Amino acid sequence: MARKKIAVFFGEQSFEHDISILTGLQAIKVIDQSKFEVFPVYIDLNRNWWTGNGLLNQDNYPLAVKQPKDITKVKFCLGDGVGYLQPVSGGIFAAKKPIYFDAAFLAFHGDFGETGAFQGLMESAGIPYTGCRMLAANVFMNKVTTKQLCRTLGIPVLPEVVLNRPENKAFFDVKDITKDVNLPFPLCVKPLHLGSSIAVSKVTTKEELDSAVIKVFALDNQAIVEPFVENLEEYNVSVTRIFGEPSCSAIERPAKKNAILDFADKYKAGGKGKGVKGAKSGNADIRGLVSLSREYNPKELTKEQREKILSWAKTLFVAMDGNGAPRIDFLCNTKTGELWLGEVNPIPGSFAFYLWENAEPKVNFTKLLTAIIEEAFAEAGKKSLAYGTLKDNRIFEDK
Amino acid sequence: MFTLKLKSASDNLPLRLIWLHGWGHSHKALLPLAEYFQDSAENYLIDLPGFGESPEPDKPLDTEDYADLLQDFISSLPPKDTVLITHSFGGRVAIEAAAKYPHSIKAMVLIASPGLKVKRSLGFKIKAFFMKRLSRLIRRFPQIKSLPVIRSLKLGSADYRNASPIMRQILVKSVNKDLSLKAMQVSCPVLLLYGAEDTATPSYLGKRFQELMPDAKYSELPMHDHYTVLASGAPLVENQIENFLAEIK
Repeated sequence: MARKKIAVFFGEQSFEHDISILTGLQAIKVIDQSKFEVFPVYIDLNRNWWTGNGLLNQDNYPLAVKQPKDITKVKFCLGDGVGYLQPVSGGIFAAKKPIYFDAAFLAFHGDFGETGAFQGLMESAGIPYTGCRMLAANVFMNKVTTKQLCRTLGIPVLPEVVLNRPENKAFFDVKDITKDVNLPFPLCVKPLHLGSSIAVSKVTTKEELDSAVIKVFALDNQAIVEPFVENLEEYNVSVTRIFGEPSCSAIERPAKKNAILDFADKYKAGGKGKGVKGAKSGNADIRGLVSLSREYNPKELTKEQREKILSWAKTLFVAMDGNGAPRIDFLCNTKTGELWLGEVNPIPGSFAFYLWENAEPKVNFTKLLTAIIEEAFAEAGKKSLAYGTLKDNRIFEDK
Repeated sequence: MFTLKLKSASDNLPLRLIWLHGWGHSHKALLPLAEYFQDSAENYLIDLPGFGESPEPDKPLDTEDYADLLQDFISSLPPKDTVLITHSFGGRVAIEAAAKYPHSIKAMVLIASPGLKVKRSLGFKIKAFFMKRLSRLIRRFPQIKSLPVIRSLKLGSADYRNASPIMRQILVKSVNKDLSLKAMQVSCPVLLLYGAEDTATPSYLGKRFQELMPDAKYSELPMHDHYTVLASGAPLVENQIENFLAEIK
């Protein structure tokens, strides 16, 4: 059987652009190439699309003005049947051949590949793609909509106040915006749409609140203010139905250094970690998130708490008809034992493979990605009802 | 010889896996892979003499001597279907063992195994030519060894420089030994895994082993080198081994 051709997409105009590169390269190296033929497609911060083996070398980022020979600029073409990639600069005499592929493997974080936008592009192009469909991705990436959904499902979430950045105003008084925040201090302020703990702060006074909101408005048009959870511990779990019935991974308690995990803590702690001795920096093991010490199935969780986390994660995932293997993050006040659903990451860093490696039964990274890719084809298959078969809907007869 | 037995869910697992590490490594390099098979097989990890927690041998052993020690260990255990899984140098020992003690070994997985002649570039040959002569010169006039110019040349491979005098002799012995004939005597099923980007044990070695061994299967891991096969490539390797073990059952 011929191997299916899989384009691994990463990058995009996102605050999590760089992490997406790491996740993409990491995925390419563990996808089972006896089953799938993989190639990279990188979208840079200026929305240029690139392909070629040169993208596999971490040392080539950010791309230089003059590209190495093995990196080619491509255009994504619609309007000619199924979407395809067209190399931009061909030879002098002949245009380079279009690149068709069987499925898009999405390794994006944040805009626009985790939010449903890129998913929509793939739907229009008629190309199977991995992970959540448009709606689920879009809802999960909106913290407030996710919380509203949780409330209807009986899943506890913290109360919140959403603050909007004034439109068309270069100058505004932040006090006018924060004056309606009626939650007691301390509070937690974060951007509504961004993940990866970007610009998340704990504030204890009105002044700190104002400055935190300004910080968020530099990155996002909406800020979300929630009560700060005292004695905070985070618990994350991944949920999927790529193995049949919806199932959950191990629960992890990520390491924390400060009161709140911030971006630097999450991703820079490991630095450019070298793998096993002798690994070249370009091919060094990208441990990223994984290099942080973490605890699996932590003992302090009671049976009841565990069951709550697992059942809430599954309930939300099923209600939203999720795909792929999103990671769902919970907050816990360790003194009172209260739990709240925090947020959902449709495409978690490193695909949260470490949660599945520690799941019962164990699933290794390669198997996880194989199942995620196979689900892309299964999902596309569900929609492949041919237009022509719906005779009753036809107004214009075939000539 | 230091050996580690992994805990497993049951004592009655029908298969025994013995893991042999590469040069300069210890059992720890293979531990994450072995742990993947913790519940499906009995797992022993070995520190070969002179590596990890095993003391250095008194005399420079040959890879065949290592194979004898391995056989002593295997025969000290209750009989059970035994599969050797090796990385790099461990593969030399396993090939020797499988050729000499065919009844002890049911199958082998050789990851990035050396043992056949590596084709070298012209540049490498020229460098080696001069280095060899320079080494002879140093042997005759040991005092020039301390010259900064000579020191900066970094004579010998990194493995060689990092090794003790005895281990250096072992390294030289093993590197110079061609295992073609031994490979032809390996009758058990063998899975040969090589990283496509491996420069230490290039993947063509695997293809040649496949031709020499009567019952061998060759598989290449794209985008992986001599070391990443144990790290970021580990899940790929796990799946290959898993499928292989299912086939030989």
